Amino acid sequence: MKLVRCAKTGNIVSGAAFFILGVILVIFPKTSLILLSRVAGAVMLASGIIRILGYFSKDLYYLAFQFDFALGILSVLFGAIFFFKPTAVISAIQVLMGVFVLINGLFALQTAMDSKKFGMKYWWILLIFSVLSSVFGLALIVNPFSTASAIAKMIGMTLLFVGAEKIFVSIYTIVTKKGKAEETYSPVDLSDFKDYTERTE
Amino acid sequence: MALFTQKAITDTFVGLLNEKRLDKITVKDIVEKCGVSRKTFYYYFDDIYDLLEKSLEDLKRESVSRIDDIDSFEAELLNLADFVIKNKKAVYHIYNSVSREKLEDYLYESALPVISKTIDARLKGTTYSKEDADIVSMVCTNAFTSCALRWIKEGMTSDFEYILKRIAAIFDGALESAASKAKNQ
Repeated sequence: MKLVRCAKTGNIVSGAAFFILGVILVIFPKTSLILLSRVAGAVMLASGIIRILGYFSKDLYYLAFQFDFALGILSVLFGAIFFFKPTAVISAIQVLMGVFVLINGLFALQTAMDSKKFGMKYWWILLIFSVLSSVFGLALIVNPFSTASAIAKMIGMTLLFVGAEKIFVSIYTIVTKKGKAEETYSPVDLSDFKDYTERTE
Repeated sequence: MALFTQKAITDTFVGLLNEKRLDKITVKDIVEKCGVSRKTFYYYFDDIYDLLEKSLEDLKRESVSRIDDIDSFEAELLNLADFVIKNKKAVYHIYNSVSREKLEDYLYESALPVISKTIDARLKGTTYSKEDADIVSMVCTNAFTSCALRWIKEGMTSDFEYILKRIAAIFDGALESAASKAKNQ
């Protein structure tokens, strides 16, 4: 399987994992925070590795993975801390999660602007996703929630949203099929250009 | 390889210009059709307008590089108009965009060295001074550019190749005759 196809599939799967984790947390907010930390850490670790692979893949649009060397490393680091040191992060899990989501959201904001410049039709969906993602991240950092259950629900909603964003970005902006031109390129043949007899519409 | 990639992008761009308006062409269209990545595109070009400018620069260089292989006035005029005649729709789209000035500059700047070289060669040994030769070159280049722009503006319905051939037939030799008149002034 080509690296770009592998990265796209991996990105969708990790997005789905975030989404499912989010749904579980919203439905069962009393889930053990240690278990949450370990599962979220594992998903972040896997997602980080996929992102680093994605950065080195030959993605034609180069939008989804453009910052993913740095963001992939960040994801691996956060994932490792969440997975291996759950007791150390448990007291500040929402802040750490918020920082992670905010950083991703801000980079996604730039990706949305680049998508507009590039000519993507639905760049505004990316923009909405990135703004909302940043808002979710900020809300977790500011932490206006008093109970553990409310925090868990908020983390759940954030993960659910981040997962949906990841799936959309992967499907919409990662091209696995390369343009034919690179393999079969020949200079544009204009010899058969018909006489221009009418003005263009 | 770098030149090949750049050429592939500019050729794809010209191909797309023959299909749709300049403001409707996106980097995404070029990347998809050409098969180079977005990163590669932005390595060579800032945006579509930069690509247009550099494409016209390349065409100008190509046109000027053919000067030495051309031996008749008619062939020189046809060489100058080669891109315009073969890419009518693309030219029309550039003309009707915010980049019209780039097209005007391209036509003038690619014609001037070709016409200057021809005139200098023809007036060698006559009484024309270098200053006079430069003035004649400027007048002829402006005449050529104006004819081309007028033809584009009017929708390119007439046969420009035929018009250029007639211009060549009518004016061939006129310079030498004008030179002999200038001698007496």
